[in-house]
Amino acid sequence: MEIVCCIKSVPNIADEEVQIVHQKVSVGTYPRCLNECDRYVLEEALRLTELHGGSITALTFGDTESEDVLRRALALGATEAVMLNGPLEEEPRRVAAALAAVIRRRHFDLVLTGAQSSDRQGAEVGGMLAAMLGVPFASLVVAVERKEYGVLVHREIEGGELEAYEVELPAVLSLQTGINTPRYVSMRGIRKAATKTITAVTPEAVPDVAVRLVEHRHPPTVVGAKMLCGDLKAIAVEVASMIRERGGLQ
Amino acid sequence: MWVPGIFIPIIGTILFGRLLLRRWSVLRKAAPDKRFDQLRSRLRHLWSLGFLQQRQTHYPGTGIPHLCIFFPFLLSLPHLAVLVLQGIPGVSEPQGRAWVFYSHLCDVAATVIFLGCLAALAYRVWLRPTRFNAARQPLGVLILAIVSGLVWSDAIFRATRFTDVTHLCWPFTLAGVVQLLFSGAAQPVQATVGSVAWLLHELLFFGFLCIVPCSKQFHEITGLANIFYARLEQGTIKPLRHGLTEQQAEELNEVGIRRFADFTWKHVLDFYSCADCGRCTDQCPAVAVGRALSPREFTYAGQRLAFEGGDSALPYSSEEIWSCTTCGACEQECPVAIEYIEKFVDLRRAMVEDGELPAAVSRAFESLEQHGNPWGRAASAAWPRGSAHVNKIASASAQSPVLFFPDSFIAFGDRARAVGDAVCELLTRTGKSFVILPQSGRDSGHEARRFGEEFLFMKLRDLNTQAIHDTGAQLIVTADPHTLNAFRHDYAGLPPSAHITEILAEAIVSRGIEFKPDHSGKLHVFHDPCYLGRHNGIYEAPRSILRSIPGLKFGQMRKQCDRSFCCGGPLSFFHQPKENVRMADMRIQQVLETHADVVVTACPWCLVNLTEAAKSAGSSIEVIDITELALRQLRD
Repeated sequence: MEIVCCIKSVPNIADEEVQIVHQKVSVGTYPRCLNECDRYVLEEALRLTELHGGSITALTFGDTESEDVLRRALALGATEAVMLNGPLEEEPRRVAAALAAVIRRRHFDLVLTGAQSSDRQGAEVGGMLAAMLGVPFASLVVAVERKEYGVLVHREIEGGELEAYEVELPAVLSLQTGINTPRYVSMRGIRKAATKTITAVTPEAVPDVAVRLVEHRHPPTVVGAKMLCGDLKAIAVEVASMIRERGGLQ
Repeated sequence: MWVPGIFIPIIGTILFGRLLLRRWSVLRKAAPDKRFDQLRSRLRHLWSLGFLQQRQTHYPGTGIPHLCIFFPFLLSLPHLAVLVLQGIPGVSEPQGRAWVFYSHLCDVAATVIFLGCLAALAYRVWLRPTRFNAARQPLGVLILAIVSGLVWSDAIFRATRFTDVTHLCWPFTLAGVVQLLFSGAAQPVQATVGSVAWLLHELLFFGFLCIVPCSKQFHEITGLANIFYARLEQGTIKPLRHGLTEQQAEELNEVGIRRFADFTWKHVLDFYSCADCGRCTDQCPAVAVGRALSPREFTYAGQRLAFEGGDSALPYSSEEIWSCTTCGACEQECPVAIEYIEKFVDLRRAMVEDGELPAAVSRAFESLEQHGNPWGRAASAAWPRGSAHVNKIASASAQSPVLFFPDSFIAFGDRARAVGDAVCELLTRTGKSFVILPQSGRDSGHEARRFGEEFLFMKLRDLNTQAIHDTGAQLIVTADPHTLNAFRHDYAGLPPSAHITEILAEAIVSRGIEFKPDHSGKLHVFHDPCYLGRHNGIYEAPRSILRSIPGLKFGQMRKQCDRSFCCGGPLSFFHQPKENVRMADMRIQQVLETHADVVVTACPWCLVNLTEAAKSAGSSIEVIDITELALRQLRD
């Protein structure tokens, strides 16, 4: 199976307070990591190629620092890595168009994306990419199985129920976390991958976007939340009495 | 007599030699190791552990019988050589008074050996200690029976050979007893009995010789070598591969232990040398809480593999490999200095490389790589920020003779940071001017290394080394024994490092600090942290602090000092192996047995593990770090 993995480098904010400068989150100030969902994307690609053979191409759109996620992919065993240079906060449609332009030119069976990125949480690129490539798309996939007709995918739906689809290839799937257990990439593996080549591509046509980001802002402080501080025992007593007052405890 | 007298030694020696060659070929195929340095220390080690058998007396039940067999055996070696070879024409017993006297001594030796065997047998059969594997009991009994058979047949041969007055054996020896029994028998009868006894001795001896390289008895041949080549410095971990630079190690196709051939020759020698005595398993906290690990079985399995030539797949499970806390209790007790920690770390290295490791451990690694701490916390949130000691953070220009390195647990732990505060107060009160690195939350990498992520450790080590040198510090103070261990044994080229208990003990001697009396009447006990005690030999410093608090009631624990029981250590924060009871819970029960009111420790991890355990035990016992206690008792 020829698999293309679209992965993203995202800011790793940890427990720092998100800083908004000029109405935008300044992502450049945080350390970066591979987007959580994309860990599962790489693992699923590895799992499928280990079972059925084939190759893995890792693809990312972003700034120079985004290269690290490609190194990680190479360390895991990706056969090829392609870097699409562009601003990290690029609009999803432009990202999808740039990815599509690269993918269209090669033979592929599956394009895997994460369900969403942890920074923007738009969940848009996968669907747009499928439309631009003119291939089927399944979102929030929790299981993939190779079949003669293509792949059998399971999707998670309301209430934790599953639905199964037969999908013909080539196709784009956006994967939900939990589809597998991503393996760890050792530091040695990443360092060894440092010598492998990454193909850099500059996106050609930049389509217009009909949606523009206006601003980021902190949500208004919620009124009605009560912070309990001080002695643990006193807090426990107070919590118990509050729950009792509201009828939670008889 | 000469036909079997020639053929038994020849056949026996050929079989024995073939077995030895086979064992040697496995050793030669093993990975490299570096054990040829520090000849003097090695000889000293060999003398105390090998010839004086110092660790045997820790377990008197089998240790004393072992001494009773070992020393007389050494004494009897020349006698034994002459005895088994005298069937060969041209070999005969030396003459002269000295040899006669020596032979009498050997009679005594044989008697002591027999008594030793009897005692060991009684211990095995009647007391049946759990540290022995019951399934392998018959082999243990058989070996004691063979050794008894050897000394008895020797005695019968000696006793029936010379019966005239000039050759009477000493009374109260086996030979003396036999002589007494046969004193009335006719000369030809005695001669026949003697010949049969000698033949039996010959068969038993060469039979036993061939059992030795196929059983736990192989320690008789490899044990002393294993002690000689033992790791001399505690707390260290082997490099990825001996004899390679870090750059070369980076380029290796794979690292760690995946198959038998990845074990170093010292690891193989360890397997060969295991006497299956189970002292390791008896001391191992993982065994005590019912984890899927037994150091004895680990080594026994390795021994079986080694004897088979080392071609089969390794029988070790992930659960087993991740059950070891690296506390070192097993290594501390092993009479032949078998090492375990290195092997577990090397096995983990292969798992890390393959990406197959406990989920929380891999999360911790990723976080260490990104944020410098395993907790996924932002560096800017690290203690002493948000505390009264924030002004101690080193500025780019300021140089200071003393650096306090808190490490990530103190920097981010809700309870542990109190230790950081106490250390700062104490250092200030002892008049030391000190700084804390701006990257105060960055981990030393100690656990990363022991969990098998060598290159992550190296990255942290390099960053810390640079930052420490930038402060110009002449002394690094630590409060986490793991940090101390990392700086002393994992890092290189750092200024000297000390644990805060050593600094305080020194200040007490130089009268730099004094304590108020403790009138509470509360009984205090001390829990020895593994990496302070066993791995760095610091037992006395914390005790001297406790003793110098006037009036403080200080009790002893059943398991303390080098037999301290691990609290679960840092591993318990990242991985919970299947177990019947948590280690810290078991430790707190041991503490409660002493009816102590306060348990003092000197490690933030122990502090938190034991605090949690005390809570879940519903006990009102106070768990406190020694720095907090010292600060509380400090005279104004």
